[in-house]
Amino acid sequence: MTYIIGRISGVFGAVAALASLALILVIVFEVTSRYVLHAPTVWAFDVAYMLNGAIFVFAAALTLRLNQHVSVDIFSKAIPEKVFRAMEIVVYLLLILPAISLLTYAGWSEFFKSWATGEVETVSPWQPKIWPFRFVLAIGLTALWLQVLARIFAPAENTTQY
Amino acid sequence: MSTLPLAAWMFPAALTMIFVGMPVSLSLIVVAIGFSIPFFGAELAGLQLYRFIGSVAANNALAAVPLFIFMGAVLENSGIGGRVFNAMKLWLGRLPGGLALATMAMCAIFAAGTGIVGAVEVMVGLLAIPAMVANKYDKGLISGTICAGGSLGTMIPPSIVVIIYASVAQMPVGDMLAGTLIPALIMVTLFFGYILVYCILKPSAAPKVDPAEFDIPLSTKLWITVKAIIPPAILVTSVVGSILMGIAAVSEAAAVGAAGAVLLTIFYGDFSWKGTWQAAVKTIVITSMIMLIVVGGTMFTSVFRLQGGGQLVNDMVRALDLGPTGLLLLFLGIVFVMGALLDWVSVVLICIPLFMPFLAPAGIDPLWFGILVIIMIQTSYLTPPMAPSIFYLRGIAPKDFTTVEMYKGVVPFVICQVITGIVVYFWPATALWLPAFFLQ
Amino acid sequence: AQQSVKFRMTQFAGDTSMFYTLTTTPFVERLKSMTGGKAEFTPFPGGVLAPPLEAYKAVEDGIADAGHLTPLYIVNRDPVNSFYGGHPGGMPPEMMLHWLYNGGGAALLAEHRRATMKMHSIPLSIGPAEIWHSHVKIRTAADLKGLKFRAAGAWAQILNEYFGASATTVAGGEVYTMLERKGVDVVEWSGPAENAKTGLQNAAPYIIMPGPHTNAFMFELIMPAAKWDAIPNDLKIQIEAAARIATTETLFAWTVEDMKGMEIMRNSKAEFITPEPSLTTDIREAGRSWAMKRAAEQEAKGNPWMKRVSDSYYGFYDNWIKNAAYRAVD
Ligand code: NA
Ligand code: NA
Repeated sequence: MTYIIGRISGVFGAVAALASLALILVIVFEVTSRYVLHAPTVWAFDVAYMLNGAIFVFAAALTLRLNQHVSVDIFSKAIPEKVFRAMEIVVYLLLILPAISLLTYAGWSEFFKSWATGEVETVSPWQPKIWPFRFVLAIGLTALWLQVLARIFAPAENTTQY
Repeated sequence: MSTLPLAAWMFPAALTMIFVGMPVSLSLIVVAIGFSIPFFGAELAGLQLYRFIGSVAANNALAAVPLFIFMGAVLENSGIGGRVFNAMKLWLGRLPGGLALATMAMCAIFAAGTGIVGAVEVMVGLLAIPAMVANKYDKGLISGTICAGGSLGTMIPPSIVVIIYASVAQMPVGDMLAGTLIPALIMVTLFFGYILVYCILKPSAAPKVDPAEFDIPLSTKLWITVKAIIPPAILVTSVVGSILMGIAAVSEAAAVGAAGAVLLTIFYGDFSWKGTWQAAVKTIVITSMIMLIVVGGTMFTSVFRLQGGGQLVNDMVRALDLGPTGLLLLFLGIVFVMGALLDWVSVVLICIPLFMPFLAPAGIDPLWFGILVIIMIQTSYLTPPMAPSIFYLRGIAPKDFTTVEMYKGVVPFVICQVITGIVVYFWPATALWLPAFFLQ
Repeated sequence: AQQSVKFRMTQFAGDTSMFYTLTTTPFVERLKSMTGGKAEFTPFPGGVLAPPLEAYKAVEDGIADAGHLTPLYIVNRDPVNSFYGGHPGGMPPEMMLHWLYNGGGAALLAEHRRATMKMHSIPLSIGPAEIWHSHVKIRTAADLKGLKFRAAGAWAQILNEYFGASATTVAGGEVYTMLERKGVDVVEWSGPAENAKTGLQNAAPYIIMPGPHTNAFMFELIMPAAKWDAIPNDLKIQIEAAARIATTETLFAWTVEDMKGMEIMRNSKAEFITPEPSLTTDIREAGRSWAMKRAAEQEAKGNPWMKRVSDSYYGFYDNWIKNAAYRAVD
């Protein structure tokens, strides 16, 4: 199961990587149309922030799988590995999983609300529907939730530091 | 203070989780939610804090974060680094500690091409460490040079530290980037000076390189240098310059720089889809790591203020009864100590919202203060126990480098950083002149 | 009903902003002393209970008990908010006060909030005209074409629909940076006093004034209808009285501060640009046309509110213009 969750995180990571390339293209497009063609777009600003949100929320799970969320290892290196792993399981199960559950729950309920009411972005003059962005946040949080769950069953992958 | 507000327990709770070894971002999120529940109940607490994820995403200035990381990652993956290192060696190789100087020069150049520390350090380290090891350079000198040089990634603009700092402190990003430029040059000069003096005093630390290697005609030398340095230099100066001169917004310059970096790899024939994809994957992982701490810090700050934390800090600082100088030194001292224990994003996210309200009443220029904090944060990469630069070095250094050697090697460079801070403290113009100049 | 009221109140602005110091703080303090502490609104600046732009949601969800907010930020949700948040080419402050209190404007807003949001609304402070800070000299409507303009509410929509500009909404904390680094060509943020405090005169070379997009804007005290209805009558009266005093008090204090702000602007390097009268006229007509279009759209969807509020607003406006000729005002 942890393997499958890991793969899911990887897929979302890939989507996030695509989003980062899309972010470059969107802003370069906006820069060109604004500075060269004097015709700024009404949508680039909103699309850019939605992509930025997609990048970090979608990648959060993969980042956890690769153990790349910054942590301080002074204490964990000083105690036996098994003891640390036991503590990790307790903290992930009793603290982190419930916290991420609440955020994920809020993420889905906000998505359904915005979907049902057809809510538009509050202040954007472009007035896009807000549910796609809410949807992105909700799935990203769900992937993170799954990866937190996976961490309870198996320790983090060993990967090289960047 | 008869009864402490709940906020008083948030720091101990978060710090405990962090020092036990839990991810900083998740620790901040957990504590924020935990202390929000007594106020709102579980469901509303989740909803209240969920909203901040969207608001962090919508922060336009933060869109520059992935873009500047990508720019560095692309440059790191390409062959541009090797050519620059060779060119630097040609010019600086004959001097005492020549390879270390060439390494430092290369770090400074590539620091202008990315906003983070890891990209500079890993790229330069992979090229320069084997060269210095082969020349029997002192391990401490190698470690210090690579770690300190790498840390320039966030001192020389562009800098993710500055971008995050500016967004937390609500300061103009451009002014802050301009403000770091002269202090960064001072810091680089001090690094150079230290390497030179050390290698003159202790020639055994840096044996002379075989001069035959540099025995080439001046015109060839110039041509190699121009080919290696001019194109990336154009990219870097146009990106940084357009921000400093106010021609483009930070995220716009960053996107153009990111696209420009890819074009540069095409220009040099280094382009590959695989390399670009790897750069993108690396980008999103580092971005997610940084942004999730920003999210956690924003949630933490919100709940801390909700629980009366602002008043609490106010009371405590008032009780100390410090003048402006005392206040400034206290804050910078806290940043230094926190920087030894935590990573910089957490330091900025936790400290700055608490410090900002005190600056205006004490008559402290927020821009000058910001630059001093940024300089202090530079030390955080090198100061143990939480020393990211040394962690990166461990990943790329030969196995016979011991951690103690690494820590010893960085000490003189930390001192150089502190001296930079002292210079900026006594001559605020070093930080303030350039932003004012670009404002004209 | 309970005997006393203790409410968490969310603002959208930071606690050093004039939106907070000149409007929220005086109201909260006066109400507390008027009621001997029986009615207490504890204010939280933007970013504590909710991110600034989501403050309305915080009240709807119960994260905050009440809000002190500008309808400007929910114009996308319902166009009637434009008339209260600062309607492009609309009423100046004095006229707006008359419309709110004696022309049915406030009653209409309260009715609208109750019917469509299950909220109770009371006007709580009003602010005067705003100005623009720009990298481009703007004198006529044609100069707006192709500009990236930081704007909010109906003005943002009108810029896109009528003037060929591209409007962007930037949250308060980023306005300075975005302007200074040319992320936008022009910003409207607030009047001279608040803008001087933000330093916008240093971020761009031109100050366009008056910025005829907003002649006056209003804030409301808003809370769920159920919470309001449960408040004892005597306290309700005192809350309304405190709000009414705060509304004029804010306007007077704000105008006096704006004059100081103008002095700062005058001494800065920025150059004042006075647009042609045609720009004011064009924006006034665009504002009205936008409102009429929205009213027709909404009516077609079976929503009468936009029509009702526009009729009230423009009815009062036209009556004022027609019959105020006897007044000698400068
Ligand atoms: Na840099
Ligand atoms: Na450190």
